[in-house]
Amino acid sequence: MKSESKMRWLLIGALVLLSAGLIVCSAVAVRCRVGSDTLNVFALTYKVHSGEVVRGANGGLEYADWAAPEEPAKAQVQDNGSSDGSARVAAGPATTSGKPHVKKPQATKVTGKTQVAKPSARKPGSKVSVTKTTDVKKPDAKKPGASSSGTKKPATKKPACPT
Amino acid sequence: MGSIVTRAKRLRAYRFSAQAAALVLLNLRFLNVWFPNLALSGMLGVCAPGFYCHGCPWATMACPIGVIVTSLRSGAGLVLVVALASISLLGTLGGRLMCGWICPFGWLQELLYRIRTRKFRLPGRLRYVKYVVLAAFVFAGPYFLPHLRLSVCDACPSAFIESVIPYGFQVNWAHNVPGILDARFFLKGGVTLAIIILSILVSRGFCRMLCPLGAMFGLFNKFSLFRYGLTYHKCTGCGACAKVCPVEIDPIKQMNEAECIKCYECTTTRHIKMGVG
Repeated sequence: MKSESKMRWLLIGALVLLSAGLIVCSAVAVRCRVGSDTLNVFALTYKVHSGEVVRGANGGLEYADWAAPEEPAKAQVQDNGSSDGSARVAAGPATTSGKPHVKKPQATKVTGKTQVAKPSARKPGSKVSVTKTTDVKKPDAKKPGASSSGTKKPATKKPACPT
Repeated sequence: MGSIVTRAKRLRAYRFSAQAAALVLLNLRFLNVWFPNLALSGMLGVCAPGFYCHGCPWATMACPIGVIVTSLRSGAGLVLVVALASISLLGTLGGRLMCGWICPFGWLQELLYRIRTRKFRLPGRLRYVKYVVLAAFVFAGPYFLPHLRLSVCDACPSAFIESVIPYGFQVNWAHNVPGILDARFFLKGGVTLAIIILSILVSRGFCRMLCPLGAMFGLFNKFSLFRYGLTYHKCTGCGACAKVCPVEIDPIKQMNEAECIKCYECTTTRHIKMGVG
């Protein structure tokens, strides 16, 4: 066998072994880091890419914190079910830094004028009177089979384009 | 044995069958239309050996370029390693064999090139553009400017055909849905239209000029497991192999070069043989 051919075979062998080893090791490491709920190494990449996991306020994609196995911290607007339409702004789960991720105050539209609530006006978890906001949908008509307590689902957006 | 024409037709039939089979395998989740409980999304963790967007609702595997871009944007180093190692493994085994026998976007270009119209040759220097695309829009753009839309995925024709159009039908082309009928949509659509026109006029224009995955696989072409051999005693210098080459290289002078997509069209002349090792 020529030395050139031997070198080529050595290169092929080394690259195949190195690549296969890297795939296996990285796949195991990613799985350990992300969590054991999925065997899919690229699951989060795919989900981030397709907008399943993280979706920005404007519908665009935001990227998850890969160092942390938790879901990305996002504030959620929850309806407390009161008859006057008031909503409670709940803080999301803690971020990697340990600080709670609190959503910035949204502009609320009252009788045609836009008012921005001051950050000091309320604390996370406190009640905020909202007549109409850009993010909170109007309460839909009660569907058959819905609970009588008046609990409604949080406002949802249409999913972003996968790409 | 048959003539060159007969052999070329036979080889093309094999190749088109392989490309069609690859398209079906890359879209295996269409089975969920009839079998909703069939779990077929597990393979999305594996890099596809071709340029196929995993944003497609039926996609079975992940696009290697899409995975690299997303992992660089989000800082997922380990996923990046897996993607690069997958490309390295596939490249070491086959080089650009995937481009000629598997890649659905390459197949689409070949079908478009069959449209009867005036054809053009691509200037040789333009083949280096794909390395610029690879460096700037696959690695540098997503890494240094992750929040700007400066990646291949943001103007990918494959993503427009396989992901944006099906998604548009899913949401009934609503104007208020992000990515549908907005600036991003028209950017991708414009790029796709330009590449479709390029593919009609130039053989494998996108593969030769722009494809970043082809650029990566091409780096392994010189020493990959599947490669060409030349039976010199039969070579008469007639140039028949160069005439049938879809990427317009001279197989005698540029054998196993980065541009060769290993479609084996040139082997129909019987002066070149394919081989392993």
